[in-house]
Amino acid sequence: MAIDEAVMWARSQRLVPNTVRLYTWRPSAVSIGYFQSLEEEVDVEACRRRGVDVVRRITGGGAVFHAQGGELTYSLVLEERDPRLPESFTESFRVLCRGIVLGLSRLGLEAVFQPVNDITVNNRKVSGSAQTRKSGVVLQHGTVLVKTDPETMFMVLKVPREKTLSKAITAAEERVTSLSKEKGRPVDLAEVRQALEEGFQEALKVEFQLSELTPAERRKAEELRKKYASREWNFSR
Amino acid sequence: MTRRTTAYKVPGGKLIRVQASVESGLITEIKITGDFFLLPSNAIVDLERRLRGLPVEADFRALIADYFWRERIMAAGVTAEDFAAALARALREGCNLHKQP
Repeated sequence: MAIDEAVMWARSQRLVPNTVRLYTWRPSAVSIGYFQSLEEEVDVEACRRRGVDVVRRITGGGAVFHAQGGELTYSLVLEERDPRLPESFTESFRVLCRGIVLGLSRLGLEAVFQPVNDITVNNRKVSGSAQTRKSGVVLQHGTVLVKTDPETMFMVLKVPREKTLSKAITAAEERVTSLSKEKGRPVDLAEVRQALEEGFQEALKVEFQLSELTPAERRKAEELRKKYASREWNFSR
Repeated sequence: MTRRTTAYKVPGGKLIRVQASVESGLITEIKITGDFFLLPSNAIVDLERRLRGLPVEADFRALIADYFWRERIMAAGVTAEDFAAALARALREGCNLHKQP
């Protein structure tokens, strides 16, 4: 999260070009949207017991369980005035998600963008995205579910009062899926990374140059890590 | 003082939670949370600040719509109307429990 924000900052300072990141989580973590209440969405104690990190994002959206080894996360940082971005905030989610849709089709999956911010395969969710903007820069990031772990997810996310735990798991299995489940075989993270790289390049009509974080981005990320580790930030609502 | 929490599901998926405290007919505390998207990021905190201290009969629909329009708030998954409806529900249900004869 600190790195995503650092890249966003560096872009706003024109220190770096538009940037795409593809990354994973270690350990597993729960992230919540900027406008959510941590206590309402997450069983913080259960996370602590299981060694699951908890973090508030700067982007809106919902509570997400990021299983270690279970998903690939992407982030896109580009200027707000980029001609590829539509006028509408709502439409921009669709445009920036197109790379995932194309990437998944390269894996032989028929992916469909579902407003506001989801992508489904066979009507079940495989990907969710979140976006924020600051200083003329857009950050959109999101997950692609490669392998699901509904039990842990339900231990750490607060289940709506109306549903019992098992009912909630069944309901979730019907609404959420993973690439492995849809392909009927274990899907490699490397395979997904390759497909998404190609998908994003096709969608954004661009050729990526593999690079590393600049020293300025690293320094900024180190600085921002303190924020993301703080109670003040994570429990701010 | 009455305190009420409500969860308002917007058709299409996003959830708005409103926690409101009412004392002597005025909103003393308000917290709006949810899985929606708003820009700028400080829109919710700003809106809460403006709602605090207002009487429960205020025209929140007009107020919130006006706020969104003036400040050019960008929203995805929710509208100004949805926030007004969520707030109205919270206040309505809260007030009904503690009506003074």
